Amino acid sequence: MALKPPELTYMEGESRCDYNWTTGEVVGTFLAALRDHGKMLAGVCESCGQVAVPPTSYCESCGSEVSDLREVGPRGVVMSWARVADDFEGAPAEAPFRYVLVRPAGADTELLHVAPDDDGIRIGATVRPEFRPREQRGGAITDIRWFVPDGAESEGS
Amino acid sequence: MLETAKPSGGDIVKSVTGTLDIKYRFSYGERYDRFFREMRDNKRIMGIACPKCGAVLLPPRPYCGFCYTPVDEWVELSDEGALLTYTVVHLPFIGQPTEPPYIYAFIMLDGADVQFPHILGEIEAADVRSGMRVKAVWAEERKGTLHDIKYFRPV
Repeated sequence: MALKPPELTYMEGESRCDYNWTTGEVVGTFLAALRDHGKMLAGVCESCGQVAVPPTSYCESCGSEVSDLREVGPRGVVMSWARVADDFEGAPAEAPFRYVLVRPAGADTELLHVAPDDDGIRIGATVRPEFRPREQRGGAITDIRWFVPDGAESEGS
Repeated sequence: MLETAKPSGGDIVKSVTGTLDIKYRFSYGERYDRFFREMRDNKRIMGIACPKCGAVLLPPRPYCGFCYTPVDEWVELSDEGALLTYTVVHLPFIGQPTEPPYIYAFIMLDGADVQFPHILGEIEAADVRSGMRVKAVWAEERKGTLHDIKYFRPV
């Protein structure tokens, strides 16, 4: 039997995974501090002294156990950024927005987060976190809505 | 272990929940393309025969799954066959062919050497027996998927 000329045949499907990620003590404490106090905690390595945010149980620099948490920020410096022009499924904000790597004051590492599509977001700029209202926080990294240029009026608050 | 005092307030966050939702489009390619076109346009189930070991494969594919020989001989199969085995599905999950409970079945179509997975209809689970004869009930509106057959009913 002769086939009709090009008509792509395909099936559409969907794969969905509900997950429940166990945070552990260090990240769990970090997230609780965001939720309850609007503060960012970093892990302090007692061996090499690296102050890492978000904190991890083991120092990513030297592998030693992290035994101390310390508040960093709230202000930080943009170390890098990227503009997102189009919406995509699971995006952390509505396009256009910017991904930012922020190094909070007092920390030696960067936190990946989002920022408004604002020309004030550039390498070296000082930014501050805009926390969601207490009743909207759920103990997740999204309890920080985004980082805004320091000095900018915060939207809706 | 953390030695320093935790900030006062609520308990630490023990877990973060979320969902990964992945939508995809699977292009059929040459063999599945003809297989699903024949179902959609002609209500025919096509298999493909191995020139070496003689196995009739379903769904059609480029290589024989038994002896790894390239296969290219199309054969029309009956839409009737024998029920090989079955199970009753009660739990819901993503991608199900229909709402549970339903009877998921492996059917050996007449002329095929590989079982065909589908569901049974027009029968109660208690009345299903391995070996019983079943026949495809075709959907009125066919789109070139396995759902072009609604289900298999007892003969």
